[in-house]
Amino acid sequence: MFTWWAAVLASVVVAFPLMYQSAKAAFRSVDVNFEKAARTLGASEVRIFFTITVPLAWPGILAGLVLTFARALGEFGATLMVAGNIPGQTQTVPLAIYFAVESGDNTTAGVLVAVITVFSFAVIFWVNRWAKRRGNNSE
Amino acid sequence: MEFQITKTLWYFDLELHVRIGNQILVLWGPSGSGKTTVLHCLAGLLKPSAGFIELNDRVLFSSDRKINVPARLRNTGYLFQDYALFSHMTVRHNVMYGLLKRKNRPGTDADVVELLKLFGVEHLADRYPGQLSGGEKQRVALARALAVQPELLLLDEPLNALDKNTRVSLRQEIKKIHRRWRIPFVLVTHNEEDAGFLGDEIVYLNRGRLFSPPSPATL
Repeated sequence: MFTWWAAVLASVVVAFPLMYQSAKAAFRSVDVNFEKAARTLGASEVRIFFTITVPLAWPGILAGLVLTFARALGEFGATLMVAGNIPGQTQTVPLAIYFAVESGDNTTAGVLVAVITVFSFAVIFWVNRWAKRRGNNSE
Repeated sequence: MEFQITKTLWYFDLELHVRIGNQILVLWGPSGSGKTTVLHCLAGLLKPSAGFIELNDRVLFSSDRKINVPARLRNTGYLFQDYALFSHMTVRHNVMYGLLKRKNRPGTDADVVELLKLFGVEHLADRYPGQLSGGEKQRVALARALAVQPELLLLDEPLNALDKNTRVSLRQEIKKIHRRWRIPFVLVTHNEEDAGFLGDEIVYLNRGRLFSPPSPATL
């Protein structure tokens, strides 16, 4: 409690269902015939999982990662409860923005909002570009 | 090869007893007559309810002796209806996939090229399945299935999705391959003409039952 691990745990807990849903849908979308074909070609189940299932489910898993990332980045309530607001240790950006506004420091809040917005866009832009490059390879 | 299997499906019971040499056995029948189920049982992707499957004195399945060799150890080639080419791999890697597991002599790039050449598709080695035509996919899928040196080749509606010209040329090609490989082929089709052309032995299947196998001449 009240360490940065607690903040990580809070983020994981609130983001997990999103990842679970996306990953489940992604794994389901893989055509079972691919796995059957691999089986008749002599591949073990472990090899099938890593060489067929995961690569084909990858776009969905990636979408899940983006969702969970966004969810974790904006996480506020659970973090405040279990990790607190210790500057330099457990203070996350959303907490910092909240307390800056509370204390009337709108300049700091504005800067933090700008930083987190630019950062989010950068990450999503990069992920999309990367996914597109992979997609182009296999089409 | 000899097999006798029964499999309870939810709409009828499948019953079949067949014995063939290095011939082409055609399972002919309307859709929903259990043809694909038979292939799945032979490949080990499905477990028959009872019976046995023997291939070159090797028991692949026996309900009496509680033997059920898993699909990956059966050494059967399977050509899927929609080819099931791995869409995220190039043609080369697709064909290579089954070669990598062999311990005594892992497959080499040269093996793959040679095999692709045999099917006249070596120029497509670095393409992805999404960039191939139906006939090309078919040839690649055949090359991939035969790469593992199977003792039995199963073909599920191999000519279904093709236009007439490709169909006729591939039919001849399948015959040619069969002569070259000298292993039993089990081919499933609902097309009478294909059955008559390809089958050394023809079995008519309807609602899981074997009907009087008409000789090729009567077709």
